[in-house]
Amino acid sequence: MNFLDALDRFAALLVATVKWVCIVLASALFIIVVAAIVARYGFGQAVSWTEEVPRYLLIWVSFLAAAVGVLQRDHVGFDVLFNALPKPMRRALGVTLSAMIFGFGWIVFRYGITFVQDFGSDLMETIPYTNYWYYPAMPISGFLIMVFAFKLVVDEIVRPEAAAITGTSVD
Amino acid sequence: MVLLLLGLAFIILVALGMPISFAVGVSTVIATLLLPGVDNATVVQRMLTAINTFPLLAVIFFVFAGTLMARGGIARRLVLMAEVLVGWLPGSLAQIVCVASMFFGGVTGSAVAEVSSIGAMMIPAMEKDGYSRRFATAIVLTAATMGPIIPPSIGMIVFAHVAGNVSIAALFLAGVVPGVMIGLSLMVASFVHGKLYHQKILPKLERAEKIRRIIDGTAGVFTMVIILGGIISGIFTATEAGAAAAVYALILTIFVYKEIKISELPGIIWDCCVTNAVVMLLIATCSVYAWILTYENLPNMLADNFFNLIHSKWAFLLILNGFLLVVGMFVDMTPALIMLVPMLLPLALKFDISLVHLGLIMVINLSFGLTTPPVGTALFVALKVGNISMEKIIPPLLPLLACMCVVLLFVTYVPEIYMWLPRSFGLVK
Repeated sequence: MNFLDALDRFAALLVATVKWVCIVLASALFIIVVAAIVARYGFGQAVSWTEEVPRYLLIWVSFLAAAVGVLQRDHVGFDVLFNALPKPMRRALGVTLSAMIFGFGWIVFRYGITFVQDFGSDLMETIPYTNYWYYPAMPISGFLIMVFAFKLVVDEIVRPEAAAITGTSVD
Repeated sequence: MVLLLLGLAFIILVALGMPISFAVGVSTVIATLLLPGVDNATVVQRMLTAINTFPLLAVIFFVFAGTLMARGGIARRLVLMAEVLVGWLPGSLAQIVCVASMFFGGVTGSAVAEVSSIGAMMIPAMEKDGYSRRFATAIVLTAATMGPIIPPSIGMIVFAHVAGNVSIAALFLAGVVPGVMIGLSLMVASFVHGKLYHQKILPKLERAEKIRRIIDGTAGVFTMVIILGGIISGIFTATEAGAAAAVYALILTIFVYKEIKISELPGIIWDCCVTNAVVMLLIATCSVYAWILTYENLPNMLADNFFNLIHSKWAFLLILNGFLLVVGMFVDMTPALIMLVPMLLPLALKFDISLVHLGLIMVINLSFGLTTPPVGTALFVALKVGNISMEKIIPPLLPLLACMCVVLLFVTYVPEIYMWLPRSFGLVK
């Protein structure tokens, strides 16, 4: 198995893992918020952590899926100029931009670790758990961004088609 | 100087094709090199805290409800209902597009979702009926601006998040009248187009068929009743209303219409996670950027040095509209809202403009921006769905945009036409 195959497989494995983790966490988030409404009106009980835990789940889901969005070219942008360039320039630009995204991933990874080390031991607001349960979303997301941006760089260099790295809008 | 460099870095990176969230992220990292007091640890911390709020959960729920409704055949049923309601008017199919988009705006908060759902059905149907493809694409595109204006609206949730002291419920309610007015203005344009170029009449429907279509379509429109009714009555917060709308969409599309299989749900949830993540990363990085601009005192500098020259509220509103229309031509709604709201808040206060009024002006202007060249993300999707080039859509687009600008002027200068609604429910003073 050569390096490109290994990279493809590693990226596919990461995407599949993130996908299922996000599906489970997003489902949990949804069930908690719906259960909170049912508990409030069905049983007259307001449970305090039902506002807090979904926020942490949202952070995990958002930063993990955002990293996969890099590989899937889902992030919103302006690709008119990029697509108008001749192919060699497009390829060089694609590599440069993806390398910068890699750099940003490194910052999120590196300083995400510092952030977890410095503040992870603080307690959550309403439940007796520490922030270690959700602060790691940042360095893990940073690491995933690095891996996926690296794959984009490799793809831009070795694959025949150099595509824009942006996606369409969500608005 | 630093701010200028920051702005330039952002513009150059976006122009070259870097996704906006990362262009903003890289620019903020550049700022950490130039500004004392701003470091990378703070950048990461602020990215996380920017999305650590309960109201933002509404985004993923509304995206989920909207996706279920779009894939579960609701858009098709709304089109069939609209045919009963306005199919007899001149410009029948264009009228149907306007009314179906108005209803679908109450189901989804996204113009892109509207263009792809309604456009995929109506552009080929209109072409078959004798309309030019460019007019069909233009009317679908402009009608889609109702998506982010008629509640639910992702743009309004983002505005409320950034502005702080404003209720999402008030913004949602305030959006109803302008959204309907945009729909009506486009119906007038369709009427004129029909009278001038297209006098074909649709075949009459049987009475039983009409009733069936109305019942079918009303089930979709009921989503908005759940959202607005739930929020106004105090039963739900905006976030919970999103979750309730999603539960309703699940029941309707899986168990009643049976158009979505349970086995398809993981894939739909994953698509929603990615869409939500795109919005959240924009919010996270743009919030840090906006914080740096505020840290560097840009809002006050602008207020003191530039906007200080304006003394009249009306002149300010006019300049604001022009400015936002130009911004909307180049930047998407979410990043524009996050970066501009902190700068415009002090000015709105100075001219005694309420936050709901400011929010409506911003969301409507930036919704128009989604349809205008050179960068209009709804425009790009419409061109793809309609399979036409940008220069072909511009001639029919301009008169339709002009109709919508008339509504924009009303929204800007006569806020009473929509403020009565949130006021009557005690949501604004």
